[in-house]
Amino acid sequence: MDSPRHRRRRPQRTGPLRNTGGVFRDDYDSARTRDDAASRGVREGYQVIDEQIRRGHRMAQTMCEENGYGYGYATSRERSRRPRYPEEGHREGRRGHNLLEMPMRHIECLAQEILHQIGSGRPDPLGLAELVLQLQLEAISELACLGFGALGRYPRHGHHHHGHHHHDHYHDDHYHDDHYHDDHHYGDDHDRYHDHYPYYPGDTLCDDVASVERDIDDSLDRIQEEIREREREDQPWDWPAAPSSPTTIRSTVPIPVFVSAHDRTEIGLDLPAGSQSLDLEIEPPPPEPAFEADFVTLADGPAILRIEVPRDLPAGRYRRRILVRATGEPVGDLTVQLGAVPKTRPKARKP
Amino acid sequence: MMRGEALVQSVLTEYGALTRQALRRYLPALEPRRYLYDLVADYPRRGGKMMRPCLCIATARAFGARVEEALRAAVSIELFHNSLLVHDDVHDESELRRGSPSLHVLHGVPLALNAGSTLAMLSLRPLTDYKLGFGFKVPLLLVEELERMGRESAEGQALELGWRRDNVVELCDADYFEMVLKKTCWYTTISPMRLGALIGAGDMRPEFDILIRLGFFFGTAFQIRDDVLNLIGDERYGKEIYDDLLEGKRTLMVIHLLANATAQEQERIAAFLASPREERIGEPVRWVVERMKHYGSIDYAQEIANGLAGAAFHEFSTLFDDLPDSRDKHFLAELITWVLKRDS
Repeated sequence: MDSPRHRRRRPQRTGPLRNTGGVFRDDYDSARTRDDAASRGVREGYQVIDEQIRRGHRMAQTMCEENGYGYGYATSRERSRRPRYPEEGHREGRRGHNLLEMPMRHIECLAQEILHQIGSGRPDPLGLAELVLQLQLEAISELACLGFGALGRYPRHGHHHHGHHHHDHYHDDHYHDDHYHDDHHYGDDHDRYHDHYPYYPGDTLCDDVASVERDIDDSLDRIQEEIREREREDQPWDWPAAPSSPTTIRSTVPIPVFVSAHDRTEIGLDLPAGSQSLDLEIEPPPPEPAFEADFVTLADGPAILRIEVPRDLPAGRYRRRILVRATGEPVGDLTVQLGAVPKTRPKARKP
Repeated sequence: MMRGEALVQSVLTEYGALTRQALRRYLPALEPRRYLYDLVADYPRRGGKMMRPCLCIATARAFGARVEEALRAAVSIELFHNSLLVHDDVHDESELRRGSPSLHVLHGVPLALNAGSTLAMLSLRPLTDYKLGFGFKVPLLLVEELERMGRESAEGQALELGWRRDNVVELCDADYFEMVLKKTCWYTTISPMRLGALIGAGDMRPEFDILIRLGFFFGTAFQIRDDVLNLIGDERYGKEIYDDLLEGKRTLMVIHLLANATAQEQERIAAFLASPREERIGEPVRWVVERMKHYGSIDYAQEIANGLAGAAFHEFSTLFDDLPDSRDKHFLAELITWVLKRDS
């Protein structure tokens, strides 16, 4: 999609041309044709189609609201002006980015950025991971703030602070000062809260939130460092990342081989020339840990050899025979060398 | 630049040929061929005007896309259209399609229906291929649009079949408009243009609702003209003459005739519509056509088609006037006139 896309401004509708009855008539006269069959037909047509469009919008609006999304093209201001639906016990938050009447604009922006990345066809994986972690951080922060709000306690430094800056207050040392741990001060309140809520304000909940935030910050720092390191090494990111480790295949016949392994692997396929046209199978695995292998025949193609090396298979050399399926006669060998071949130290010569 | 019918024919020929070529890639050469895939390929090979794919491609190009970007959507629409034709011929007991025996006449109803369903499934594949180069959002929107197109078409077909089964005769023009909007317009004009606009613009936009109005007026004018041709057309038309009346279809002419006929004539027309197809052939259907001419039902329908085409022009200019001048934009404008004047 590299050609210029034509965009137009939102049209200012002046109203449909309902009196089009005589457009295709030789004696077209707009004053005369106001009430003829064609004009009546056009009026009726507009009624039908406008009702269909309205029905479509209503259906889309209902579906979006049931899913908790703001509908279509309404601005956030228009959404906030919408009437509530008390008969459904509807919360403001279900209609979009409001939760208990606290706008979460930054979360919405992060979510949109994530969706944009995913929909782009070639997302930046590290950037995407960073956005997701930021979203988690924002969500935890907002929920923590809501928790304080639900308990009737707000962050020490004032009001509801929304967006990504308010979490700084959780690191504020004031939260851990004696004011909050002063049992004498909270006395009755403490007992009341303790009975009904698992957390005492400014105590365990705050510590948990702070701990999670620190973990998320550490993860973000590690990701940033990895991004910087990759940029320094000038390595292009390969998306999606190749799942298998390096594999070497040595075969005496042209058979496609598919290998899935967690470590460096060397495959040796020893078959006589022409035997690839036979219906072959790998002999059953031995009792001890072994690799999986079988010949898979596709409907319209040649047979391929599929090898899967389990993660817990120790490094070493493994061998199985290749048989003719119909007779069980061995015709060749399949060898899998997993991991580096151990170097044998030369024996020291006796003087 | 070419104008008028020459332009329309030139674009239909060019885009139609490209669509046919691309469509071959989506007709599998698999087994069972004798019972399925040869049947699946039959209707697409018989040709046709290819108006729907051309609408899609032309709209996409008017919004800035390349032909190859719109081709897959055009193929999808054409496959779906052929699926509906197979099923329609079974519903209507039509014996001819594009000058040759219908699929169910050649192979029986069960195999024909199965082939028709397969064509509908195959129509999804070209849209999913858009993930290569368009990301994930555009293919999803395309499939959503196709879903709506399919659903509206089914609802329209249900209305028409239901009216026939229950011999409903108390209908007005608005009932006809709603049925045609669903049964014909969504997959003939509305969705092809909306798919094209989506590909061209890279996203669905609020102003594309205008395409629903434009497609409705244009598509209904097209359908009414088709209904008129079925009564006055000749051997170039490709369908049996009077076939709609023999099927008992509630066209605008039938509705107008019922509204204007005497009570005795109304009873006779209602009895005609309730009778089996074989009892309508010959003198009964000729009598109905004569009454239509007497009450001016055919001229009435043509006049309404003219009015709707005028409304289509208005909606067209509302959306397309700001777009750059191009052969495709002119083609779309000329097409509205062409559907009114065509005789096949």
